[in-house]
Parts: sequence; structure tokens; C-alpha cells
Amino acid sequence: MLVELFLVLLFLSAIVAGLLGSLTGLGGGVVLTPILVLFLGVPVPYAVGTSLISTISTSASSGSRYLNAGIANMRIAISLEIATTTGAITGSFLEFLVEKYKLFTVLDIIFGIVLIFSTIPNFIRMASEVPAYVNPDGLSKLMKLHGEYYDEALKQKISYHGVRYHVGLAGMYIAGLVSGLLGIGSGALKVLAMDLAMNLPFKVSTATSSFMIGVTAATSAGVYWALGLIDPIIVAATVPGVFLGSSLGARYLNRFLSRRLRQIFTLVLVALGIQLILRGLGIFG
Amino acid sequence: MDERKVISLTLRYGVIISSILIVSGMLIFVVLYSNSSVNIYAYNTSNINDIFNLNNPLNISLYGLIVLISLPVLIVGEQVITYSMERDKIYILISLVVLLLLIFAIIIMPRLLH
Repeated sequence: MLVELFLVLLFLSAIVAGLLGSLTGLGGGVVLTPILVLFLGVPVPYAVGTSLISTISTSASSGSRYLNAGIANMRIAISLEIATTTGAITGSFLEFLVEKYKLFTVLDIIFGIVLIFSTIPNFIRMASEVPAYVNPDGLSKLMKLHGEYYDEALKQKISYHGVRYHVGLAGMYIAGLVSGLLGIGSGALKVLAMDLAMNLPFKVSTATSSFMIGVTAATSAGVYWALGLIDPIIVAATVPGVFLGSSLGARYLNRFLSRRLRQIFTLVLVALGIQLILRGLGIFG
Repeated sequence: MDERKVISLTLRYGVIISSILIVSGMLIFVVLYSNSSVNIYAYNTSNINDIFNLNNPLNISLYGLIVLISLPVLIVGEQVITYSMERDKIYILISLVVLLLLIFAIIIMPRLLH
């Protein structure tokens, strides 16, 4: 394929990836990795390196807007990042064990199935726009996990208080671990932990996840850099695309009904689950 | 100025600056080498000694990448300052630990693993 054509296709796929990534809080990798591998013939390790970098770009451009709009919660983000970074570092150190015992296949399949099943609570919550207020426990109160934002779809101010901070932390540790081990974006587990365990409004969960994934991705970026898996040419075509897509997505997030965002999120999660199972079975990647 | 605004602006301008660097490096490279068949996987980030060699336009892209990767570190650092000004002890501690973990993961961990 002509280099120029290849770059244009990369750029276009990156726009879509950034758009979906910023709306769902999943980052750009979920959409980008399969496009790179299946349609553009990029080797898997480079695809993962690229998706890592594009995740930082998605996170920076959408996180900036979400923070400004008051939808992403800085305290919730940093108080959970302590668990994601620890998890990601543990994951990177455990990776050699996984490689030694050839556990990639098993982990991919298990995680794929977990992701697909994790969408079930979404169907139950599909009808609700804002979670019912639950009295916060002592720890969540101490950590000041509360905030408010103006919901443009509902045209009202929403106040919320996170609960079960310790469960959230555990979920975030696993999210970090998985991203360090499998090299996939950990946005899915982040959104699930905030949505299911901490009872945060869905928009706050996806926006805060968008803000956080950059930090988790940066944790692994050093290792990928040292391995030489970040290709400057591929990245150069994807970073601006992701930037455009995620700026666009972040601008419109607040106008969507949460239920619509949840539907998009569920679809992308099922696709990611199938993708991981296929990778585990050796059908692609 | 509102500290949320500072962090938001850091991210916004950071990602713009890094995109400009990354793209211009790539464009110069494509213009210079457009007629030869390029192996796009030939150049990679593991040979760090080359990074100051300005004859390779892709190094400009790498500088952009460094800007991008340092953005999360920068905003965690800004949060340390924010919480210090608010004298919020729990969050000063948390953001400091996250900052140290990040620096460890980006700079020290790659050396330990290889």
C-alpha cells in the first residue's frame, strides 16, 4: 500500500476511535487496535503501542474539556489513580510470568468473557438517567468523593456522592493490572467500577475515566518505548486524528442522554470482549 | 485563576503542541523520502542514542511524543500543588504517591525489566 494512502486511512480511523473513546471513557485503543490489525495489517505489538499513545491523546483532549465543564471529578480521579498505577506496575512485572507459562491465551479468553458478562448490569440500569442517592459510607465521606454538574440533556443540576470507595479501589487495581498485563486500555473496568460499585452518574464515570486513562497509559508508555514498540510514523497519523475525534466527542457528551451513552458503551464493550476471545483463540492477532 | 482551569489548559495546549511536533516530523519525513519505498517499522524508539540526531526528521515526532507522555505527569504534579494550596493533607499525600509511582513507571521500570 502507498505510504500516503496508508497514513490517510490511519488518520480517518483515528477520528472514529477518538470519538467513541471520549464518549465511552474507554480511550482510543478499543476501536483503533482491531482496525490497525485487521484492516491495515499493522503487527499487534505496534498496534498496542499506537493505541497506548492514542489513549494519552484522547485522555488529554477530552479530559481537558470534561474538567472545564465540571463533569470529570479531579478528586475521584486521583484518589483512584493510586490503585490503577499500582496495578499497572504490578502487571508489567507479572508480564514475564504470563509470557513464561504462555498464559496469554487463557487470560484473553477469561477477560473477554468477563467483559461480555459485565454488560448485564447495564441492561438493568439502561432506564435510569441518574442513580438514586445512597448515603455515603465513612471512608467515601472522608475522601470527599462528591460533586455536581449541569446535565445538558436533562436540563438540571445533578449532585452526586460516590460510595464504596474501597470497592472502587479494588476494581481500579484490577483495571491497572489488566492493562499492564494484556496491554489493553483499562477504561472498561474503570467505568464499570465507578458506575456499578461507586454509584456515580454515568456521565461522571465516563468523563472521569477519560481523564484517568491518560495516567494509566503513561504508566506503561515507558516500557513500550524501551521495547521500541512505538512507531513514530503510525503514531503521527493517529494522534491528530484521535485529537480531532475526541475533542468532537467531548463537546457533545453532555448533550446525550445517559441511556444513549450506556447503549454505545455496552456495544463497544461486547465488541471488545469478542475481540479478546478471538485473540485468545488465535483467530486474529 | 481556578486550578481546574490550569490543568485543563495544560492538557489542551500540551496535546496541541505535541500533535504539531509529531505531525511536522512525519510530514518532513514523508516529503523527503516519498519516492523510496519506506519500511515504516524500521525506525523505532528503542535506540535512544539517536534521539539528538536532527538529520532524522522523525526525531521531531519523538520530541512530540515525549511532550505527550509527560502530560499526565505534569497534571498530577499540578494537583500536588493544588491540594497543597488547599492544605488538604489526604490529597497531598495521594497525589504525591501517584506522582512518584508515575515517575518510577516511566523512567525506572523500563530499566529494571530489560
